[in-house]
Order: sequence, then C-alpha cells, then structure tokens
Amino acid sequence: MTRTMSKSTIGFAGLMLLGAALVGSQVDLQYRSRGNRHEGVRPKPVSGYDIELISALVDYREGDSELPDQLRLKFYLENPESVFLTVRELDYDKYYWLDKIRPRRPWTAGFGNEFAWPSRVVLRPLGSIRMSDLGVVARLGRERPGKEERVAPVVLYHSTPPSRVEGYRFTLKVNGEARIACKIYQIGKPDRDPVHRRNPNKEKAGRPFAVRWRTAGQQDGWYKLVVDGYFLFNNRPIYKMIQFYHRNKIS
Amino acid sequence: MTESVSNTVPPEPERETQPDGAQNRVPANEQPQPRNTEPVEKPQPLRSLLLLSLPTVVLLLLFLLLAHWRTPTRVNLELVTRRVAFTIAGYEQRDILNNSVGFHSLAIEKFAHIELHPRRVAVADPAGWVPSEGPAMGEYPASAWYDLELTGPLTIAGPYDSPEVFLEGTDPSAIMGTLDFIRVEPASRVVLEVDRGATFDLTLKVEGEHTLNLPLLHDFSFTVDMAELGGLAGLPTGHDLLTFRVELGEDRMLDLRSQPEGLVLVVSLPVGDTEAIFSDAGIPLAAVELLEEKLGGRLGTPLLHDGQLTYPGYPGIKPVIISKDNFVALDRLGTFHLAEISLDQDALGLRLRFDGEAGNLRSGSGVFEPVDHRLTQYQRLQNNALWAILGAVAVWIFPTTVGGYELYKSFK
Repeated sequence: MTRTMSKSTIGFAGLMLLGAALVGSQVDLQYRSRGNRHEGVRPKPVSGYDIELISALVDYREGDSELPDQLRLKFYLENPESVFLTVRELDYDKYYWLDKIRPRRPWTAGFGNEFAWPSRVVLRPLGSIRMSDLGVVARLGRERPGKEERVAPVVLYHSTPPSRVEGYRFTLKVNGEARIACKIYQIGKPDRDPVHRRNPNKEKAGRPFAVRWRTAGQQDGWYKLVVDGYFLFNNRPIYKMIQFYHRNKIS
Repeated sequence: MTESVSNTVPPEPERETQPDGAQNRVPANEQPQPRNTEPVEKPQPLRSLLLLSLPTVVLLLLFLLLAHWRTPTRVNLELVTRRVAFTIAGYEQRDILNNSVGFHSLAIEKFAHIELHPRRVAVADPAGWVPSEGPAMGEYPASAWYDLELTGPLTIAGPYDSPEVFLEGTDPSAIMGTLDFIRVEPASRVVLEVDRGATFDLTLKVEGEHTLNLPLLHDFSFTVDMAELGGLAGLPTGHDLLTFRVELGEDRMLDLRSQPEGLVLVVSLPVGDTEAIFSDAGIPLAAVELLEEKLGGRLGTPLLHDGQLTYPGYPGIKPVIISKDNFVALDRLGTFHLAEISLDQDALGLRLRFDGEAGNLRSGSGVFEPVDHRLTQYQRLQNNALWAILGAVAVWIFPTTVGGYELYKSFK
C-alpha cells in the first residue's frame, strides 16, 4: 500500500485502520494511484461545509441494469483551463472516490474532453454500485469547493453519449435539516427573471437532493445556480452559487 | 593369653630378604602399573551451565511469543454512535424495528410504487409561491391551492434514480402515522443514522425489496420530487417538486413497495418515548461498520461518547475505554450479535451493545498506530493462574533439575 496523502492528517496508520474497517482484507481497493487517476475507497481530510455540490451532470441516462465494463465522461470547456474531476457516490455506501485524473492530453476548448476508466479495478469488486449511484463534479480553476464555484457539467455514459443537452441535474447535500430554494439565472440577464425555480423545500441532513433543469430553448452561455435557505434548527442562513456553461449541442 | 581371631591384625607377609638396595623394591607382582600416557579429560562446567540456562531462554522466547500472539477474542462492546451499518448473519429474517413506531413526518426514498386512497387531494401551484424574508422563505397562500380530480387510487411511481416523497402531518406535534416493523433478509445490509436538528430523525436504509403498509392517523401534506403521479387530473406541468394536501378517507393505509435495490426512510420521531423502537431480539451480524462521511468527502468516526470494551470470561481484565474521537474497526466476526440497540435522546444517538467474537478489533485516531484489542495468549494465561503455574512447572523445573545435577557432578 502506498502513502498517497503525505499531507493528510490521517496518515498511514489511519489508512490501515480504515482499510480494515472498510474493505477488510481487500487492501487493493484502497484509494491509491492507478496510473491515470487516483481511485478507491478512502478518507479525504477536507474541512467541513454547510452545503456541498455532490454532482453536476448532464441529465442523461443510458440504462444501467448492470455496471458496464468501461465508464466514460466528457465535458465542455469554453476555454482551456485546469479541471479538477471527482467521481463519488451520490449517497455514500462503499466510500468510493476517484479524482486526480491525468488525461492523455491537456483539456481543450470544446466537448473533446473525455476520460474513461474500467469498472473491474474497484467498482465491480465493491459490488452493488450502479452508474446511477455515481455523481461527478468537474471544478474549474480550483480543486476545493467553496461558496461560489465554477463547474463544467459532465456527461456520464458508457457507450453512446447524447447528441444534445436536454437538461442538467445538480445534486447537493446539507449537513443539517434545512429549507432550501434553488434558482437558475442566465448570467448577463436580470436576476428577477430566473430561467428555473425550485420553491423552498425541507431537505434532510445528509440526504442528497437533486435540482433538475430542463433546458429546452435556452441559449448557449453562462448560467448560475443559486442555492439559498436556512437551517431549521438554528435559522442560520445557507448560500451557494454554482456557475456553469450551457451548450446545447454535444459535438 | 590367646587373642581372639577377630581382634588380631593379620601380620604382614614376610618379605624375602633381598641383597642390599633391593629391600625397598616392590615385588614384581605388586609394582604399580605404569601411568596412562593419554591426558585425563576434565569435566566441562559449560555444558552444565548451558543446560541450566536453557529453560530460562526457552521461557523467555515463549513469553515473547505469547505476548504477541493474538487470536480472535470474545468481547462486549458498548458505544453511543450517530451511525452504524451492519450486515445480517445467519439464515433467518430479522426484524429491525418493533411494531407501531409513531412518527411526526416520513421521508421515503428509492421507492418503486406508493398507493393511497384519499378522499380529497389539493395541490399548490408552484407559480403561486409568495416569497418572504427570513427562515420561512415564504408560503403558498390560500389562492395557490386548488383541488384535483381523483380518477382512481393516488399512485406515486419512482421510475427515476432518486424519487422522494415527504409526508408531514398538518399538526406537526401530532403523530401522523405509525411505521410497521421492518423485516430484512439474511446477508442484507442495514444502515441506521440519527440526526437531531429541528426534529429527531432516524434514517433507515435497508437492502432488498420491501413492501410496507403504513397506517396514517391524520390528514397530512406531502411533497413529491422526481416521481410520476397517477390517479390525479389537472396537475401543474413542468415541475419536479409539487406540494399536496390530503384528506384521508376510510382507507387510511399507505402501501409502499421499494425499488429492488433497497429502501430509505427518514422518520421524525417524537421526543421522549423512543427507547423501545428497535427489536428486542439480538441480531446476528456478519459485518459491522462504524464510519460516516462528512460533507467534503471527509471520513470520520460517528461515535458520540467514549465506548467501553470488556472481555467476558476474563473479568480480571480491566475494561478498555475507547475514545469517541477514535475510529473502531471490527472485522472477521465469529458468532457476533448486536445484543442491544436503543435510541438515546440525551446523547442524540444510537446506544449499541455488541457481543461476540472478533478476529480483528482495533481502534485509533488515525494518526498513530491503531491499538489491537484482541487478547494475547499471555493475557489469557495471566488471567488463568492454574495454566500459568502448570506451564511454568513443565517448562522450567525439569531441565533445571537436569542442568543442576550436571553442574553438581562437574564440581564433585
């Protein structure tokens, strides 16, 4: 087992202990470098948040009664820039995590940004994980989440990607029971006219909730998803803003 | 005077008179034998010393072996935790909850089909929401509500990946329904989580397809997200999230069928009488996991208070305190049970007692080497005096006696 996180507060001993806790004798499923990515079951010491973006996907489902041999993703960039991809479970069960992707060539402008990885190495041995259980976030410019962040919505598929974007699906989680409202605005247009609205709704602590936006007729361009609300326990406000580029045609 | 024969010393035999100088010669047949020219071997005390020290060395090696040789150990572990996941062992179905657990509200995820037979259903037009500042964030005024035509049983189907229904009584302080017992198959994985926010929520995730029938006691409202509704005409279109009000008819049952992969329920429990919501019978376990994922993907320990580990069969061994900041790893379980489980509303967590044999039982903060809590053979002997004494006698006394005798012979 390699020491993959020398700066981690949970060091080698922690990896051994958690490895035993999580996967028993299956040491090879533990999070480590696997060539062009880091993948496995692992702890990641990141500071806590009130609300977190778990996934930003193009709303597309190819059908996944069984886990495919190869999973693929692609995303659009308006301009070349650094991208930090994370693949994880929407509702954690096996503690699956994939990040630190090293693409064959640098990410470029357009929809030509693709990555594929086999399911046989970690996903299949973990068992009972379907593609629809996975979420992907492609953060632009910086790796760590924040109150305001830029992402590239990802197409997650295994055989044939869609030819057009019909909608998006953002999945978030709060760490306390809260009332949450979501609005999507086109950047550059007045904020009084959201293109999509999800009225305030009670969301349970730790349970993922999804915001789905059907994009029919919307122009290509930058949009922002604004999530705000209050924790029910102490009325503390919650706020998060996610910027993303919408492009109708997937080339 | 005659001397008794017994008292007389026999006279020395007369020696033949020999010429001068020859008188001192010893007769030929009495001459001492010539000395052996080979050197006489002196006794070696080293061998004896080695024999003498051998049992001590053997004992030392044996002690080192026994002090590090750990084997599966029967333990009794008491914890208070926010989350626990376990896999059912054995060949029988097991009940997780007792009958008739009352709830204030219920969130249902990963369902395939829900069916109700209400008398009346009204929906709030999402466009009618009136926002306001502050935590309430707004409301649906009376004008936003309108009745829907019931064309049959109200059905809610969950063909998508993450359908969700949230039911809440119109009186938040009243029990709006009761939860039936949850029966799980062997080898099923069960996850229990507790959260104390504005309400006291128990999240229950169970693998496998489940069918439940929940009695509803009062009228309620419910929201639906990412699901398809049937039996209603006049629904607002183009909205994933809709809010309804339901007036119950004579049939007050909610019929629920989960997705094949499993079911997730989040139950808001009344504060107070919640200790007996779990089944009394011990649950045999094939695996236990005490971990949780925080926001940001960080893994943490879900323990809320220091735990206690004891060793049945070895009452002389002091209980081990497991810090609430530590991770606990339990693995390679033999006969292992979740002997007791209850809700601790003061601690805001699940109070658990495990009992059984574990082949791997470690705890640690994750920074330093984890502590192995299995007993060593030495600890077992230490707490069993008879075996310790017999062992010492067998290993030490015999070779020591042999070595001592050898040493004695060498110095004699």
